[in-house]
Amino acid sequence: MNSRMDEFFKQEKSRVFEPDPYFPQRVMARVAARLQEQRENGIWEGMKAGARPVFALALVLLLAFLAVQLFVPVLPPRGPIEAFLSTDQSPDEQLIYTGVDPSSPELEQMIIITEDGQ
Amino acid sequence: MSFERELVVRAQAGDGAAQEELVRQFSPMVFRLISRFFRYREDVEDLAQDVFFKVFTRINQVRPDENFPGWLRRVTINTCYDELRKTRRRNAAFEIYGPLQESEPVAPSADPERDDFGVARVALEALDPKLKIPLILKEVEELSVAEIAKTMGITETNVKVRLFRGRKKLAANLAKLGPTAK
Repeated sequence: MNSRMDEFFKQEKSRVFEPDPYFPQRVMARVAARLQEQRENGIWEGMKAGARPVFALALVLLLAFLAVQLFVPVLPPRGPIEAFLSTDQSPDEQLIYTGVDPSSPELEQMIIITEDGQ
Repeated sequence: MSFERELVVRAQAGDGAAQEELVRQFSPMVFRLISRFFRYREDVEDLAQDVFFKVFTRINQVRPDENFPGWLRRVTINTCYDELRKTRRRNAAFEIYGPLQESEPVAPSADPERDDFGVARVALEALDPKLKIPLILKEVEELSVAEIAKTMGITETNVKVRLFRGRKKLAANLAKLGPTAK
């Protein structure tokens, strides 16, 4: 380091700014305003700038996963629960097993004819 | 319990009067440190306000056995480092995308930065903040290598390496800027 730089550093030591007497009040007012702003703006503004893209990416991935779950049909289309809940009995089987009358007399007649034919 | 420690404990509990008293007591130190890196009063005051905002949002991180002025110095230097990096990136972007420079260079005598210690200042400003901060802390603030290492959160060896490289780069910048620097 040459002597000119030493002189420069010596001069730099004397170059100091002093806070004015109202600085603490201004700081407190600004701190209060910024905390209020953070509360109003919620999580996004309160977050560090560097963390925002990561948070946004995580949110997009989560929404994409939910969208896939909701809109893309999941295989197999007929699982054990669906098979248990929904019936694939024909109307004549329904008549035999449940005892409920068929919805129309024509259907009843058709069932009787089928049974007679067999 | 010392008065300073008591203030910190009260400030941690959210006591506004204690927080204001901490600002009153420590703002001269914060101003002095920021003045080492920034030349305009407005910049210094804005950064000092940022420092105290960070202090009050993170004051619960101050451990009971921790030296508060040391912790505050660390927060101040980190804030200066972030700002210097931002300024450097802005300047680099301006050099690439900003308006074209005039083809004729300005005569040295017409440039106020070249008067008195202007060249030394320009050479120092051109340093990377990673090298500039330890150099200023050592030469102007007269901190020891151990204190610089603690303040910057790096090893003492790393500080020594940065000081060596900083001095070398500064000499190179001075040589580049012309014979008036010597």
